[in-house]
Amino acid sequence: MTAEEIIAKVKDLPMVSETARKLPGLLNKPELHRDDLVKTLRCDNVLTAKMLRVCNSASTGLREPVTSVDQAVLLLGDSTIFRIVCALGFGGAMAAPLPGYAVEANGLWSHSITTGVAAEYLAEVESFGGFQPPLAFTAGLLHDIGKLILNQMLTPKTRSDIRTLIAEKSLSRVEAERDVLGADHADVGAALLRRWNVPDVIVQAVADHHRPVVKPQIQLSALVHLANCAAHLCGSAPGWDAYAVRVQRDLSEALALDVHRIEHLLMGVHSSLATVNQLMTAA
Amino acid sequence: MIPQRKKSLIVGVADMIASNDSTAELVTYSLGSCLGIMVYDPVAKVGGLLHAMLPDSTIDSHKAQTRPFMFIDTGAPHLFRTIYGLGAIKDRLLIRVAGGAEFLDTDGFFNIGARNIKTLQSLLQRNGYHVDAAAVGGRCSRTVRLDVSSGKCTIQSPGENPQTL
Repeated sequence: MTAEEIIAKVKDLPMVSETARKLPGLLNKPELHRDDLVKTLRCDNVLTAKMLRVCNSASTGLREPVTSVDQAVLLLGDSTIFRIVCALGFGGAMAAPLPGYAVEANGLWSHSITTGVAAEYLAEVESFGGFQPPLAFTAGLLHDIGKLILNQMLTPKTRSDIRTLIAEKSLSRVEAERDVLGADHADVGAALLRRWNVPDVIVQAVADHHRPVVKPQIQLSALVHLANCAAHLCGSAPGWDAYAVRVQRDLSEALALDVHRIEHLLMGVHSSLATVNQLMTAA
Repeated sequence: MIPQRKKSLIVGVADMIASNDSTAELVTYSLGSCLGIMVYDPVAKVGGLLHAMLPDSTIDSHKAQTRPFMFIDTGAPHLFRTIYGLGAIKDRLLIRVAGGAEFLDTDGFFNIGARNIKTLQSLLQRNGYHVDAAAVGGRCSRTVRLDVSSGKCTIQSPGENPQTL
């Protein structure tokens, strides 16, 4: 089956609000515009209320309570508010347990935010690829969204077939998913995001996050691939056979990575992950 | 009588807890490439659990000071010193190790799990310790629990039943 056929077949598509679906589209411009963000959030009282709750949690360190979108953006900045509302907007759907992958409730959501924060760190602090940090965050956040769909295709039989291929043929999880189901969670996630009119650059990064493109120049998929590896190495690896991930050979060369560089990056990513706990605790 | 549920003391990434509280269990979640080192003295009934992320602290001397449990080479000595401080004795120690999962990475740059295991093995060997049980490598993440009163150590991967280590 193709990714589209799988999406057509499954019963439950992720429940994500219209506002949340519009958020990635705000990154179509070279920079995130404050007015666009405020205007979008004004249409969604539920998401705004959740965002304000996070802003008013102890973790943000604000002295005065925040009561409006404008005030939140002014005090915490566009990127921070965008990160919070994006994580919350997709969080409801992503917080579901995925029994097919043996992922507990909140497991996918936590890993998705971790990967988003790691991607943002790699873009902002390490300047990989020159991507704007909110774009890196969003692609990282959405990279595994296809698992919400593919989870519904994982019967005991298909799951066992996939695990056998991983154990006996040394396939990666996506390679085994393609072998058994015809499409992998990256293809399915990209197809879903395309339906939601998410910008192509994010759709492509999600589609290629296990086959990152580094030539002729580094694409967003390479950043997400690296962020996903970093999330795993920092302890965010939910589900069975979570390390059945093939690291692409040309990635290290293209990003000038060696053992020491990777370990330094991991220390940096690990330091940035306090944000994940703050967000999840307050949400 | 209904057995009382153990109090879980959760060890985060780059952290360590040692305890002689018989009502407690030490827990660390989702060990992937990271290494969990569980040490236990069955006579003193003292246990410790380290969740280390990276092998070698020489890459960052500041972090070695401020976050010693991030690294095997600084975290493990801290772990041993701490449980000795609680009354454990070297000759009685049970040492169990879990984690060190590996990606499919032909270059090996990302295989920190294997380097974590190698660093720990060499550190233990140099200091006259041996590992009593280990569940390392592979593609799965592991959650481990160490019961402080009994020393029982259980290990569980997602979708699998818990096993005694």
